[in-house]
Amino acid sequence: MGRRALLPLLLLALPQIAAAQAKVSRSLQLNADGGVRIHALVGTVTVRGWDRDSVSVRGTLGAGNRLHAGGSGIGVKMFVEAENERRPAPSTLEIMVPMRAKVWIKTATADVAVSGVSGSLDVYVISGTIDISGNPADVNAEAIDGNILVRGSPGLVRARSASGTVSLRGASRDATLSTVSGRITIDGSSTPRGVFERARFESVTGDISFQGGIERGADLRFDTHSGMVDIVLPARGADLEVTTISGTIRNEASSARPLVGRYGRGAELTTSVGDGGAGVQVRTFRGAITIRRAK
Amino acid sequence: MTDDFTDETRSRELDELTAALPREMTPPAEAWDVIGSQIQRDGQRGQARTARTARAAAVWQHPAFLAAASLLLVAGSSAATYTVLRERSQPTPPRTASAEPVSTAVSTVSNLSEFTGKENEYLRRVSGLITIMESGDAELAPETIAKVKESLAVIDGAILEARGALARDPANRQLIEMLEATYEKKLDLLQRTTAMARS
Repeated sequence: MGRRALLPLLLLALPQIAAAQAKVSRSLQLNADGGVRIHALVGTVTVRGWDRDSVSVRGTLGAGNRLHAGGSGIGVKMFVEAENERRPAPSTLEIMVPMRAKVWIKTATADVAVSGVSGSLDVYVISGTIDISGNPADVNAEAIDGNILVRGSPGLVRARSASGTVSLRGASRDATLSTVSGRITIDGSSTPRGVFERARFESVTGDISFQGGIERGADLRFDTHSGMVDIVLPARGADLEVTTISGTIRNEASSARPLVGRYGRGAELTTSVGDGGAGVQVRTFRGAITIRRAK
Repeated sequence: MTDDFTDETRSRELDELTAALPREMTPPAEAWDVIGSQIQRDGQRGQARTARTARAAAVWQHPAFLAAASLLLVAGSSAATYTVLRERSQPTPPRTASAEPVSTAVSTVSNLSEFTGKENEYLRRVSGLITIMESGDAELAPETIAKVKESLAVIDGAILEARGALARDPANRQLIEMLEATYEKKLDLLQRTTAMARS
């Protein structure tokens, strides 16, 4: 059947598709620091913080879906019930919450975006993207098959994926980013005053790149099996302890050269760069390591 | 707000499930060929050692023995995983698991022989979690399970590579710590997957 033949059929079907979907608009009272739990299976969930003591939900529910929402000033809970849970129709939700709210979101296959929330944030996605911007008190973001992007400087961040990438554009005093095969990117160049104090960056095969501020007395650890590690230290420097079993170490941050590993294989580099004062530990099995220093 | 992940009852159920798993599994027959060739290779390396070193080494520290033991474990691990993944006819276990933080502690074991005990515990916990993930109760989409399996295969590749290196260098604590960290990643992924499946 040609495209010209398909077009009229599509036009005829459009009203039915539109009728199958349902617009939703709900408002609920919630304290400024109340809790919000959102459970949606498929589609997109966009959450924004606002300066009001209420929650507003707008969006479009997929065919056969129903939105259930309720709660009190202390906490609000909502979930999308699908007519067919095995093949749920996608829904699109835009939710406004008090900016200091504690937000918990769980989805199956959905893209989640959160912005302007300064309370705590928990986001769980099986397959889909997580995009968080702003400065929440703490962030816990988990995906199985999805990318995670955090833009801002949460007080604490835990971001874990399996096959997806994990990116932090900003800084956090307490950060743990991990993935299996995705890439880990930490880019603090947009927040020059942001610093890392305690951080773990872990992958199995994914590459890890870091550029950011490091607090004096900090403890940063990088761990990967075969991913490449590229670290740009702040100009002030750090105390390095770098080990690879069968990879290579390239030190462009100082004149110190790596030595053969203590077990007679691989390479090690233990040195202070600049003023030192912050611990940076890097460990790979066979991933190549490059250490540089910001100018 | 992570109350879904601190269910002690579910954790106990998981412990009971994993405790019920068989302690030993016979590796596949073809594994012995690999073990044999590895023993032969390591045996040739061992001949190059001085006689004094060879006499001083205890039987359990002999490279051939360690290589065989490590490969047996690897083969056993693979066999256990293979068996668990196909035992769909078994009664379905509890569908949940508690999430534990990834360990960043320095290893308390110092050589391969000590590590094998710990590795058995890892394998037991992994098998239990895979059973949960595979069960219908987990309510995971087949494509999600496939994606998780891809990641598990990546982790298994890293474990095998590090395990082979440890067999050749059994007192290397760095390797032991790396292996432990990789096993922890595998457990973490499985725990997260099974926990996420709960509504």
